[in-house]
Amino acid sequence: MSWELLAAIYFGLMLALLFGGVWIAISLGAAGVVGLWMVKPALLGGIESVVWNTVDSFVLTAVPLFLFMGAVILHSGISARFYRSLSVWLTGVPGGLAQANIAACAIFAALCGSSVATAAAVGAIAIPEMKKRGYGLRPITGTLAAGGTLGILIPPSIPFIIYGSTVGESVGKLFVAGIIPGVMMTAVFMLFLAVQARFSPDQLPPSSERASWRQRMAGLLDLVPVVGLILVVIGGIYVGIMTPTEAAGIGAAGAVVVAAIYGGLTLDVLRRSLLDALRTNAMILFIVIGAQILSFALVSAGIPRAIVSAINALDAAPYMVLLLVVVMYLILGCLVDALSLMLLTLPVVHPVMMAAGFDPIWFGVVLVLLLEVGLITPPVGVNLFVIQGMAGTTLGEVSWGAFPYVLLLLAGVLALTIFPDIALWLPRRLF
Amino acid sequence: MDLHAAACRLSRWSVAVGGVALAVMILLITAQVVSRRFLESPMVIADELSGYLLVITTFSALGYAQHRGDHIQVTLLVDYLSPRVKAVLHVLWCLIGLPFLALLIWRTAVLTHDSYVSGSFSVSATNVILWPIQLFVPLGLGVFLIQMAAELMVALGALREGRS
Amino acid sequence: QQKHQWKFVSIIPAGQDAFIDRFKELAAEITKQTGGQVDVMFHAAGELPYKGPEHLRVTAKGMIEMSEVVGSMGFGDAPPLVLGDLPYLALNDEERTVLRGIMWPEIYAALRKQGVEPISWGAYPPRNIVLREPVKGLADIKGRKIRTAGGLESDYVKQWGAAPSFVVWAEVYPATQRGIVDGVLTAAVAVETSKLYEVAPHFLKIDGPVAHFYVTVNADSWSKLTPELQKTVRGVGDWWADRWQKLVVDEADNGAIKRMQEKGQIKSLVQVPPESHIETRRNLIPIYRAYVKDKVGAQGSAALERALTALKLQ
Ligand code: NA
Ligand code: NA
Repeated sequence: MSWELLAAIYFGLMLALLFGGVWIAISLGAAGVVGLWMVKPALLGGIESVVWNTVDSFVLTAVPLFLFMGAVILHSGISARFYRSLSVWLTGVPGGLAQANIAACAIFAALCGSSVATAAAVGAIAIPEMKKRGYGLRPITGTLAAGGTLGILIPPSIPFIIYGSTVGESVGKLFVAGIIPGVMMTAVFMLFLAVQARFSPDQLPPSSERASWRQRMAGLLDLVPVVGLILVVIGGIYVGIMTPTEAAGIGAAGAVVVAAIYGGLTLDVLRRSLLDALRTNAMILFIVIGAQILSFALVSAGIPRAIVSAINALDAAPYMVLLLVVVMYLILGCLVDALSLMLLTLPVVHPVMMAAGFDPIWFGVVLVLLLEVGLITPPVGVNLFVIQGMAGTTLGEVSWGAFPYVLLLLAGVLALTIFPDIALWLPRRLF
Repeated sequence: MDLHAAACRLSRWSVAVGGVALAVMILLITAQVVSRRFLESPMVIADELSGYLLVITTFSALGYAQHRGDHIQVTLLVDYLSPRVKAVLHVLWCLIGLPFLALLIWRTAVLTHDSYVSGSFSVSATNVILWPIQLFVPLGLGVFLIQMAAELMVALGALREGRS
Repeated sequence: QQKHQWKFVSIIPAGQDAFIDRFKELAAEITKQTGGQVDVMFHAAGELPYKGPEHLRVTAKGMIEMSEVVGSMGFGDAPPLVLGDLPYLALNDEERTVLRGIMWPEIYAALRKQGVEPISWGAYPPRNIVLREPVKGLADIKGRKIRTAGGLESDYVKQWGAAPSFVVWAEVYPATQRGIVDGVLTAAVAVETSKLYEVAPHFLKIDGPVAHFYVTVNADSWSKLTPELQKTVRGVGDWWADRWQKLVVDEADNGAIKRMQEKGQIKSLVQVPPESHIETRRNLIPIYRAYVKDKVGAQGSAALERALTALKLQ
């Protein structure tokens, strides 16, 4: 069977299962199983390797750990105080607490390497508070899903680490290259929100209260635990006490300590926090397993390689190649999770991009922006899933909320293409 | 005996094991950071053990997550269907999910069995025997499968009642 | 004429061309020399779902037809593989040849017992230590945290009074940059490709142990070949083993050190004198014995004693 036909069958089957409402992890995995069986039934014997290798991973331990940290902050009541204080400080700013979502995500992004963990950590704090204050579900979930994507652009970033080690580029340079684009995208997101607040005040209610400086100063005390935790974790990473993944463990332990100090720690808080982390982690990693089974089927059928040689055969101009690559990531990004997507495509896309004359560090940043898009495009967008789970709403609602940010991220890709120095200036200065 | 109630109890016991694993993971990583910073000889096994604990954390919670409806679905189209069609779909989902889980259980049980027979041990820092850790994978998936089977029974029951 | 299609996987991810180019060459040469009858397709690590420690098992089961089995990763399933990688047991080419004469039959028998046929072998270049701060010699690494991959590596690093530490490879660069570890034990080629010299520019040349790997073929796939084809494939394997030694260990690794020095990427280079290796070896002998007895058993211990005798170490 030709690879085109196989690809059509796989994607057709997967889409049928997904839109038929089968659990996403099982849709991906079952399509993968059928795919493997079509290539060679004996390949089903590789499934145990996929399952075991996916989850036996130190890097992924950050997922339940940051989920737990967020849950402790939520259930112990620290988040409520943090948000009350932030809302006092943000009275009068168009977009209010939705702005705080983006800002808080950007801050969390600076201490964790994963977008899911960023979205989860801030989402756990923000969603209940914002619902209470009458914000629309779309701006709540959209800002969190999109803000969370900053987690892999602002260093530390697990995809940068994996990209760097896979293609042999300096992870340090990649980290530094992500800083300005990260700050830029944060600013662009916040600017967009301010404009949106002007046009849809029903979704982003302007605050009627006026805060006195006395209230603001009193509120500062409530910012201390969260900011302190962030400082301990960031500080720990940058001073050289721990690796970014270990920071997740310290963050989890630190959250318990902070909750104890602030008087919000009970056995019930611990129990609920553990359960929350366990449930969401199981859901996320089961999807990663399903995606990896599908990836295995794709590779076994030779589909990624065939796509690369098809692009190479076109012998197109560099910007045409880039456009093709962007379109490919947009499509695949809808269907495959970020980590799988990167692992699946790099062996073919990287040589194509280098042959077209693009800078490897620059492409690393563009790739991460495209992965960010994939995180918030349905039907498979891990950030959408996490936020949907937390907000108790539909995937459609979260997807619509995040849609404007898809366009903003693509505008970011365009800006980086026109001005590569957005990514490359800082590494050039430092190295 | 009520299969659904039994399945839920089993899922709760299983997730409790996961809770212990996650708590140990937090303590272990904290100990690693502290020991590297302040002791002469840092731990070299924490990373590897954390990976194993993640395995336990993840698989032991799958059934509970199913019980609580956490495994997400694309409901874009399903939302528009009548409750009756949805009930039929629910049965279909389980009929697709159960063989998939059965396949995963079979394959990961083979992995565990192979490791047991050949006495495989880890080649990283700890050299621990692998099969007792790998056993958590088919066991956790088994709880997931039982939970889904119980759900299928409930869905079938609802369908039958709806008909009469 | 029957056509044989083989998938071939290595533990090296795409991008590390010093190694990847050689593996691609092996695949291409087998295909060429057999006139396309054995069509080998190479896959870098990460493309297929198998990790190094599983290569032996999935090849034996026929999930893939051909793989690179690294001794230090495969010994969890085939303990005798450990015999090829006892650190500092052989200190020069002559001793390495003696050691291979004794250990390779044990290792090949263990591989065949698992259901794979070894057709070639190679070694990754010697590991050395790169550090954040300059040192004058081995004595200066006392108390420093050195990233190792665990196992016996930790044991000889401990012999020198350093503190073996572990971080996953993906985090080695930032961990070194921020001083979570003081140094990293790895091959010069890896230092160059990962640009680790940016954060650890001081090179301590310990002429560390090499890690051996074996290119293996699934036993069924192998037995399906005609005797002529088997001979051809073996011939390519032998040719390639020499080529690997020359192009990877001799040229690429030494070349990497030279290039990094010329470009000023390495700020200092200190060579550990041969006498200290002899001392390290003397201290390690009880550890070899205990380790081999524990992991491999009586047959392995017997092979080790033969090797110690042949090397005039007892
Ligand atoms: Na980050
Ligand atoms: Na997506």
